[in-house]
Amino acid sequence: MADLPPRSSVKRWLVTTNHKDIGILYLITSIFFLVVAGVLALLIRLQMLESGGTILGGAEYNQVVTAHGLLMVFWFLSPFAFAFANYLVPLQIGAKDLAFPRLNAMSYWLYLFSGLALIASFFQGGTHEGGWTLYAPLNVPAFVPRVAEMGETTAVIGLVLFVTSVTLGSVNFLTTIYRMRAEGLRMRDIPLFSMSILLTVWMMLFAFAALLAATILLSSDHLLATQYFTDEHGGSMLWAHLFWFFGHPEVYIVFFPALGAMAEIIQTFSGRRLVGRKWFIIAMALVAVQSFIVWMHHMFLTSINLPIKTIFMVTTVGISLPFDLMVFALIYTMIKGRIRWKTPFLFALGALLIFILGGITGVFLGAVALDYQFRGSYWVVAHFHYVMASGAVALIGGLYYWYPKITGKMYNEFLGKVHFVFAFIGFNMLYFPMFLVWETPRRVFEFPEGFTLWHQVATAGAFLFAASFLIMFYNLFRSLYSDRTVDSSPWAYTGSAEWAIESPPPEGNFPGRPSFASGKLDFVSDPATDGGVEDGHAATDGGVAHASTGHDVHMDHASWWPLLVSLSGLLVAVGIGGIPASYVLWPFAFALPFFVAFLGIEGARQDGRARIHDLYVVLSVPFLLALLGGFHFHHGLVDGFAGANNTFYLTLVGAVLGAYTFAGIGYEKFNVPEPELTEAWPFENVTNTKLGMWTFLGSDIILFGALIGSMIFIRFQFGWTDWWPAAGYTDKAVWPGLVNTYVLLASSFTIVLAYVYAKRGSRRKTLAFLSLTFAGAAVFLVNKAYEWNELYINQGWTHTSDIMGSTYYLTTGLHAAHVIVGMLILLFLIARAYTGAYWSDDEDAHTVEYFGLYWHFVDIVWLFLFPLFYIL
Amino acid sequence: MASVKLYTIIFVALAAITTVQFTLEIVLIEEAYWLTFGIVMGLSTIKTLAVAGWYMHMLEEPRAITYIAMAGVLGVIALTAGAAYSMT
Ligand code: HEM
Ligand SMILES: [Cu+2]
Repeated sequence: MADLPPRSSVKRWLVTTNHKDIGILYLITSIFFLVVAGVLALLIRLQMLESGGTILGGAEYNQVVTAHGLLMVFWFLSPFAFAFANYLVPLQIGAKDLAFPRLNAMSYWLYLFSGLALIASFFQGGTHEGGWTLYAPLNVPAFVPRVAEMGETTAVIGLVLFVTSVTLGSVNFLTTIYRMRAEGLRMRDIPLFSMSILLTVWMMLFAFAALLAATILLSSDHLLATQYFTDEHGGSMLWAHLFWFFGHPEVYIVFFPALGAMAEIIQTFSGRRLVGRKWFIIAMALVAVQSFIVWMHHMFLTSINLPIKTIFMVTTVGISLPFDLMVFALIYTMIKGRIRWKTPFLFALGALLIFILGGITGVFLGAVALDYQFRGSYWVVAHFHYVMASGAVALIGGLYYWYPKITGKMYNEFLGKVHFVFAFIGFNMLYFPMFLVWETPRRVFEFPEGFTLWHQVATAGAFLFAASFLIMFYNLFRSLYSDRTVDSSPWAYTGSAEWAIESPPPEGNFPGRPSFASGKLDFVSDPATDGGVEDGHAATDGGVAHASTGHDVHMDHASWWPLLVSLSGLLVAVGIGGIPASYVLWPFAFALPFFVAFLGIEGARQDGRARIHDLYVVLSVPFLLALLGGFHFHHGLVDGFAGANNTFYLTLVGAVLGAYTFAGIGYEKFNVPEPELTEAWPFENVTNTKLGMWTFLGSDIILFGALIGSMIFIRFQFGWTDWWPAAGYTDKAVWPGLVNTYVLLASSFTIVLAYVYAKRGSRRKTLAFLSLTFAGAAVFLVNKAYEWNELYINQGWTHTSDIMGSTYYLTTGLHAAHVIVGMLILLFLIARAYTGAYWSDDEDAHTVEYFGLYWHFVDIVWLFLFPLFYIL
Repeated sequence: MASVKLYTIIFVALAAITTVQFTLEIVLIEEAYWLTFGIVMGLSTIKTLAVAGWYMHMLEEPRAITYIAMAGVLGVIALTAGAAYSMT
């Protein structure tokens, strides 16, 4: 851990973990993806100038449409919102940073690299062609052009990386907002933007886990040739369910932050607190919950039955009601207030108008009978561009609104207004005609002659809309170097805490400890007492205030690891798509002994050399040799390595780099002190790490639940009790499952004891029980290997034999992967315990507890795999 | 934090329940599949509650922690039940 270099140095931006820096990185990166996706959009519009197309062939057009959608939804809109979230949420709630700054940096780098992987997929024979919804079966190898198979897979793996980034981010923001609010700041009083982010990350946490399940299954269909989405018993319906269970919440995920920004902007420029603020928040919370029970309105034209269509039509009407309330609250606030027509306000108002039209047209789509007509037409295209782009427009308003805060400079108001006028006209010219010629089929560039004029108007609008952004780029860039400096707030009637400090805010954010204890925001100079002394000019280095751990604590952390970990992900992502199925798992297997060796080396460097470290380094050698033996058995040692292609080696490098970086990040001393005197309702008595762990497990419940649910879904249609008799094995014994259940339960028991003895300060027993847990996991795997060998090799029942094989090997295999990850962490814990980390009642002992939470969860998953895959 | 003794009792109970599940597979499943199904899944749920409640000491944490896990479980049930029902 080192201090941060200055902002002018490139290194600063590679190693920073500061939330404001990361906000800026998100901002620039998301705008980069906006430009890429925007150029693709212009290509689409050029193609649509006349029926039959102008510049692109069919396959290219399909790729352009797909990548445009994916990039805009995933890599522009949400991350653009999270640029502001990163920068502003800690300021608004009075925190110095997010709860896990290093994880935050990792989210950013994973986000950037996942996007680069998607772009790279274009150059690997072609990216996906089936639209951003990746509908099955067009998403599986059998239906993908041969040349594009590698690019396809890269795109899917890119998505997996992106989901990882999002999940880490959700955990981080939830922990931060719940546990790091300034003294006296009640949950219900946090500013509306932060509130909207809170609800957004709740939805993200659960919705993206379903997408993760879907993309993991899809990756497996690509890499390992399992048959989930080609299965005749509802494979393509399975995709639709998983995707839309994620997809509908996703539309609110992209919209909510914009709603929060709109609310803040409208409050400020009407000079009035939001009318019905409390109800506004309740309505948002309702929508967040309801968003998980409307997904089948995207499936009205599939084979789902009529009763369920009706139910989902009703829930869809239900979810539009709270939205009406929110819209009226915003309108009423404007009517009641005295409006100042500044650029941010214009954008917020424009966004609201656009949203109203988008929302109303959405309700049409939610009616089953109407959707029979509208489905797959430009009506849908127009609808969702009105709502999604409304979100983008509102956030552009946010960009103007917070630009002075972030840069310390005022933009040019005139140019801002010009931008708005062109953008608003361009936008409506682009999308309104789509309602008029709605009978144009979606994702196709052929339409009736008579529609040509309107499509040409739309194309003209697209170029106008795009051009308006050039004005913004010019304005914002020039203003950086202008002399229009601003102090704390350039706007009157701002209420939230970010406006109470300098622009841009100093490194430590606040001049003293922020406190709302007196009912308004004060900066308290003495961190230990709460006398409520107002001190506007205290030193702002934010130094060693709460050094609860006794270490030398800095607030500004620099770390290379988040970048390096994510880089290993990128290498794997662009490599793995080219590896034949029989080679796919080997790079990861080979990375394991390297991890063990790196643990030894890093451990010796950080904790001082001890016998355990030597042991790890020494043991990694026979471990590697054993794997080489296995590889020889599988492919032949010489022939195998000679026959492996370049992408295999690229993936291998990525996996080994991953092994190295995970060991490194584990050992890096990176203390984030938990500030005292914060509001932490309703999580007062847990630590940040524990809350983070639990929220992570919350998403993991959805992940594993969706994986198991996928099996249940297919089996249900197959005929529940016909399932196992139809499987291609001769005899599948129950006892391996039984033994493994005992073993895992026992390992849960031993890890609890390890924690008990860590707290009691017994080094020997802590070590012993950690080691026993490791041994239990090892027995579990050996038993599993024995069982799989019997079924897979001896009985010839493989993961490609039938759908039972696919679901069986993949679900239990992913569980086994969780066990292996647990074992790797255990190795780390054992080394740390050996050198004296955990045997005392301080914070360190809790590391064993947090690991235990993960381990018990893995155990619980097995408690359901056992009955479902062995008994029933 | 509970005592070592309690943790031990829970472990023994978990192992015993597992044995019951296994026994049912031998003695009951042929005659009454759905009854077995209900009992076995019910027992797995009970085991889960025990592991979560004591080993993960959810019982001692703020109630809101339980709500997080419950939200995940409800999501899974909504997805699985909704999807399966939609195809009937
Ligand atoms: C006012 C409430 C809304 C209702 C009732 C509604 C309803 C619908 C329906 C029924 C569809 C499916 C149309 C079809 O494929 O046939 C749809 C599509 C879509 N909606 Fe909405 N919507 C609403 C708000 C939103 C919002 C706020 C967003 C995003 C910010 C959004 C984004 C989308 C997207 C992206 C699609 C297209 C999905 C695809 O690619 O097929 N909607 N909407
Ligand atoms: Cu929807």
